[in-house]
This record gives sequence, C-alpha cells and structure tokens, in this order.
Amino acid sequence: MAKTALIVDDSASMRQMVAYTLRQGGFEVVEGENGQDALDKIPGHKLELIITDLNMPIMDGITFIQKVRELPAFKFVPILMLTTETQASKKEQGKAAGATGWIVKPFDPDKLLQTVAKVVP
Amino acid sequence: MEQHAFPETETLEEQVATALPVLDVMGTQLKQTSDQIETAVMDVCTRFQSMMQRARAGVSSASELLSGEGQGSSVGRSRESIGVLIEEAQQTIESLLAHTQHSAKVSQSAIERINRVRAATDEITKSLAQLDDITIGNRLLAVNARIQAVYAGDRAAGFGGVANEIAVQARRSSEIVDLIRSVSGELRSISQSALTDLQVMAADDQKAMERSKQEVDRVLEDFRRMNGHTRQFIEKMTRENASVVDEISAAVRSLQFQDRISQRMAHVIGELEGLRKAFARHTQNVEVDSKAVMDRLSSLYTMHEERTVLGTNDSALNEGDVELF
Repeated sequence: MAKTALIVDDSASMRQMVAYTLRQGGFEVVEGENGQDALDKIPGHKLELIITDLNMPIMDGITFIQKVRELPAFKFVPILMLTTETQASKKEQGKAAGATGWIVKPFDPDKLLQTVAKVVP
Repeated sequence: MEQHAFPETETLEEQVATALPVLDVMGTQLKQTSDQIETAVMDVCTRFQSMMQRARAGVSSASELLSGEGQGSSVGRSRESIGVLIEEAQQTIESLLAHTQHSAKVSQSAIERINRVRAATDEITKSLAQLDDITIGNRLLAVNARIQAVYAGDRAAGFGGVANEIAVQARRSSEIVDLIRSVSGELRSISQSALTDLQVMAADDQKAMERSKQEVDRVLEDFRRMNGHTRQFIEKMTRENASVVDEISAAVRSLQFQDRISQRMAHVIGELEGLRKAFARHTQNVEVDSKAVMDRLSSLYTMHEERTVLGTNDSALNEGDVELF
C-alpha cells in the first residue's frame, strides 16, 4: 500500500513539482494551498510525510506545524519545510515548532527523495 | 518620459490623489502577471514531466529488452532476449540436423540389410545350379532305366514305369527350379533398385544436410552480428534517453524560479497596497479628476486582460482569433 504525503504550498506550480517528485518515489499525495487549508484536509488521512512552505497567506508554515503537532495522530509525522527562506532565526523557529528538516528552494528532485527516504521509515 | 507624466496640479496631495488609481492598477497588473507566469510554468512543467515519464519508460523498456526480462511474452520472461532466441534457434536447427543424421544412419542400416538379402539371393542361385545338376542326373538315370528295361524284356517292365516316373519328377523339379530362379532374379532386381534409391537418397541427404548446416550457421552468424549492432544501438539510445531525463529534470528544477519571482512580486504588491492606503489616508479630502491619467493608461494597454484591469472590456477579439480586412 502506497504511503501518503501532504504538500502545503500556496504556489500551484511548486505543489505540482513536489507532487510529481513524490509520486515518482511511490507516494500518494494530498495538497493544501496554505496551512489552514491543509489542516482542514488532513482528518481521515494517515500521513507518512508532510512537506510545507513557510510563507503562505491565511496560515503560514510555522503556525501550521505548531497546529499539526497538537494533533495526537500527527505528533510524530516527519515534517519537512521547503522554503526560499534562508535566515537561521526562521530555521530555529521551524525547528522549535516541530519541523523535522529544512530544505531551501529550488529543490533537486533526487535530493528531495533522498532526504524523504531518511525521514520516512 | 512625457508619455508617462502625470498632469500638472497645484499641490503634492493633488498629484498623489491623481496617481492613486494607478497604484491600484499596478498592483492588479503585477498579481495577474504573476498568475500568468505560474500558469505557464505549470503547463511547461506538466509537459516536461510527461516527456520525462516517456523517456524513463523508454530507458526501462530498452533495459528489459537488453536483459531479456520482458514480461510481454506468454512463454516466459527469459525468452524475450534476442540473444536467447538466437541460441534457441541454433539448438532447434542442431536438433533437426541430428534427426537428419539419424535418418541417414537408418538408411545406411537398410542398405546393409538389403546387401545381406542380395548375398542370400546369390546363395539361392548357386543352390539352384546344383539342383539343375541333380535334375540332369535324374533324367540320365531315367533314360538308362528305360534302356535297361527294353533289354530285360517283360521281366523288367516295372523298371520302365519307374524310369517314366523319375523323368516326370525330374521335369517337375526343373520347373520348380526355373520358378525359384525367376523369383530370385526378380528379388535381386528389386533389392538392387531399392539399394540404388537408398544410396542416392542417403548421399543427397548428406549433401543437403551439410549445405543446410552451412546456411544456418551463416544466417545465425548474421543474426548474432545484427543483434550485436542492435544492442549497441539500444545501449546508446538508453544512455541518450537517460541524459535527456537528467536534462529535463534540471530544466524542471530551473522552472522553480517562478516560485521565487512570485514571492518577490507578492512582496512588491503588498508594499504597493500599503503605499496606496497610506497615500489614501493623506488625500482623502482632496478632490481630483483621475480620468485623464486612466485614459492615458487605457491608450497604452493593448491586451484584453490589461484593459479588463482598467474596467474596460471593449475587446472584440479573443486570443488566436484571425480577422481579415
């Protein structure tokens, strides 16, 4: 049975690129346009991975991670931040919120899959 | 440039108030441009990903063909390989040749048996010659017996009857010998004919077999050579395809520039909106007429979507339309 990944990004093209890459890696994909949209969609899903952008309208990535970590079913799901943000302080905020890793855009598909393989058992 | 200048007004507030609608238009233009770029990038990405998919499928199929691990055959995975097929053809041909050789051996064995039949027929012919001698002896004996019976007179009349009977037996014996000789001769003739046919057939089979083997070896060698060329070609195409996949993958990665541009434009749009609000607060009581500025923008914009931003929708043509005058 295929594993399921949630992709959260306000950019439709980025969601498409990440989704394509993950499908190549054998994942089924659920998409959210921002943190709130993703939170609305995850009930009922058994997620093995979440990849989220940082800067998004309505709900940003840091807040989204904090909200996800409050949900018992998703407390230990690996969460990778995929963002153009390079500031160390932002990265620390992500880590403190519960992110598993930080990937700076633009991403390399092979490297993304290698990273995913390290965090998804 | 004069074309972009705002109308001269009395105060700075009036200038700003006149320009406010333009800030609105600029923000909307940037937002729509960003959306258009995203749509175009997604379309390009979809096509690239489809190309990658097909290139990967090509690499995968070629690899399966080279390794003989295809799954399309009903007779098993390993039989897909051209090399394996050639080897199987070679084995089949060799099996046929072995069968032909076996047939040649059987023919040779039949020839030897027919030769033995001929030898037996020769023995019968010799025996018939001895029977001829015996028959002649019996005839002479019958003649002598008749002569003695004549000399002896009535007392030896019985000898005459015996002599006649011996003569009759000798004649019957001679007739049987003639019949056997005739049958033996026919048998010899038939066996000679069969022997000749078998020898000719065996010799022809042997020549045909040698010719077939040479021909098959030559054809199989051609197949092997062609297979070698095909493998080299497929390997080259596989490498080319893999290279194309890498290049498309790199191109798709480059297309992520759109996300960065989108973010930067979003920041600019946000700041423009902030500026517009700030200016609006300072000029809320200023009465100006922005129509001239908007008219100037309208005269500059040519595309339908640009005019839509200004609130005018006077385009009679759609994208791709052709109109001849």
